[in-house]
Amino acid sequence: MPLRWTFRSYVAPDGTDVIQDWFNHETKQARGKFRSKLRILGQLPFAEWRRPLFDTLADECTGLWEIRFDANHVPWRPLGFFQGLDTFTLVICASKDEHNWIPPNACTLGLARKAEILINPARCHDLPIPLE
Amino acid sequence: MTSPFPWSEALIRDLADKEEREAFVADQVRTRIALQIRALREQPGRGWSQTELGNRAGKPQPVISRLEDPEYGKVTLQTLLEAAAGFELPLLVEIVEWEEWAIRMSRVSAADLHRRSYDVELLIAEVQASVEAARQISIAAVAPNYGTAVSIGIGGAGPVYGGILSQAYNTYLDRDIPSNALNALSVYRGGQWGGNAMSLGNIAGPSPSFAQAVLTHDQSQEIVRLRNALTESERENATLRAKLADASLENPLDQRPVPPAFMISPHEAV
Repeated sequence: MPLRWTFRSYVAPDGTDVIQDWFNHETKQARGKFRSKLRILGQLPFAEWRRPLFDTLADECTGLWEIRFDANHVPWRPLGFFQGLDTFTLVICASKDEHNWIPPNACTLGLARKAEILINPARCHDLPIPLE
Repeated sequence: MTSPFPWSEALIRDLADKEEREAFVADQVRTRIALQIRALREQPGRGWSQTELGNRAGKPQPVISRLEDPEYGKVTLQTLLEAAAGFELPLLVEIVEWEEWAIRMSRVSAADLHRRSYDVELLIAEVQASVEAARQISIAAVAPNYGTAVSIGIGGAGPVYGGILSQAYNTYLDRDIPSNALNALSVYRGGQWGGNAMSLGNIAGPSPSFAQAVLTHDQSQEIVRLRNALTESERENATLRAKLADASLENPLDQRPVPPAFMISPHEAV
């Protein structure tokens, strides 16, 4: 069964895919869980994108959404936004320490990358991590 | 029948790493069961709170909350059995082939995870409906032209008996019949569809005790005999077609000896 959703990822000015770069440097536990969560979300209708897998952010993070999973006791929060009805674009893989973002400017950075993509669609491409 | 493996080569190669694969598998399993418990609880017709499910499963609400949390990694088999019992549903825990696992794990939406509770009247009605369908539905495969024409009727759906009979049917007739599509089997024999029907139908007949339905030895032997008759008939047909294709036999009248009066002597020909 093909995924309902397409995942895309932010590409930095130097051509680095920041999501793939994070993935390549993470633990195998985090990699396995990240891929699993994307695959599950990719199979769900939009109405089922909700906690505990997913959440809408507010306040200084308004305009971004988070994917939620823990790996090696680290609460990972890949952030992204919707493009159309079937595309979710990831802009940063942040994490949390208690209630603080890591990096602390995760939402600011994420929103800036979102703005870059909206101005220049070439700043993102299909996530190069196989999900199906 | 084998279903296509639902993963790409790239994904299969990526998951060749054992540690990453194990993390992937564990997360898929944990997330799916968490999503299913919530989907079952919220399923139309139930609409239960976590507290209500807890009451039915004999568990406090925080236990249900943890069951619905894919990041909670200490769910026990006993707790799952009790949660399933709260829904009046059975639990299936099984180590399977990768293909089956991948296919199951590709169905995680709430609609995919909804299940019906045990309902005596509903289950009996389904059994009765399948038996009735078996009496009414038949699909003919009529042998052509010559010899002993054999046609085969196949009964309708029956999830209780279907697999067993389907397996027996496929074994003896080498036909590709969906495993869930067979409840009763009728074999008709005659020159045309419906002629001289000899019914082996209702083999599976309604059984309130859900007794296993199997083909008796005599019934199996009869099916084998009819299968052989059909094979023989097809062989004869092939032989006759080959003879008809021979130009010398296109018109049997051409094979008659030419009367002497119409023969031309060598002298006349000159």
